[in-house]
Amino acid sequence: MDVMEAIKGRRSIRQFTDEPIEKDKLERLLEAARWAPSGGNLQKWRFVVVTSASQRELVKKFAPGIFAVPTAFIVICAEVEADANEWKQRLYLADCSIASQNIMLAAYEMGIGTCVALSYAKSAISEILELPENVEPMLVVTLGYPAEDPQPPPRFELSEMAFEELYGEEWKP
Amino acid sequence: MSQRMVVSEEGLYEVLAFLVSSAQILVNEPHLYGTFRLIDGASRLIGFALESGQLEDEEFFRRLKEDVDERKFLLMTDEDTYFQLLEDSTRAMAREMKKRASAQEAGA
Repeated sequence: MDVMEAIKGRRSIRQFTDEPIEKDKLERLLEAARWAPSGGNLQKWRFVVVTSASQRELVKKFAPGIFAVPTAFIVICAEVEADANEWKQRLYLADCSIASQNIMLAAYEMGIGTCVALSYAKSAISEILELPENVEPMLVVTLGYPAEDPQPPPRFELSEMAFEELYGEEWKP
Repeated sequence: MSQRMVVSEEGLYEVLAFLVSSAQILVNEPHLYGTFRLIDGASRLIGFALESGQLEDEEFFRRLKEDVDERKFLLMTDEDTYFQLLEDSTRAMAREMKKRASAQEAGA
């Protein structure tokens, strides 16, 4: 699949079938995440894959922004260094976000639907997944075979967001 | 007026998990998400009550839940229709409760 086709074709999927995702496909998604770039090549991301029914139900109950139980979650965490300052915290989030996009694009290519969520109670997710104190859940990716085919939401035009040389100078194609 | 229990203990746990999680994450979420969590929470509560099969007027709650679930996601794309849903739901509740109060008065 062409990369641009995946970028433009991927939708946030919120309704899933019951069909489980094969283990080798989940590993391929982790592999996609592993090859994402990270600031200073720190690779402080950690990935917890949740597929058991009981754990999925629990995670979903403490994630008000997730509306159906997916067949899998990948909880993307950051292993926070003892000396992490505000800049480092931003770096962790940026790195985890890039990894999540790798996961979502690779999933799309395999016909797996995804949605990335931030609307969950971190403290509850930490308890449920038994995360060590220095490991923080940064993003939750829901995964499953799509049970919906949503239309793409509107996007701003490039002319509204891209500039040439100076902010405010119109981007000319 | 019925005094029946219409939400199971399991349902109570789930609604409470939703409410306390929402309270925590709303500290940092956009303020309009607060309205969404409340109307979504109402829908979830109705869902558990419908599951119990113990409701006196199942039809009213079923219609209300359907309406909420159909329009709640418009918060992201069509705020006016979403705001209308909030108003319509509130009016529907008020109408229904007034009707119930009148029926109770007439029966007393």
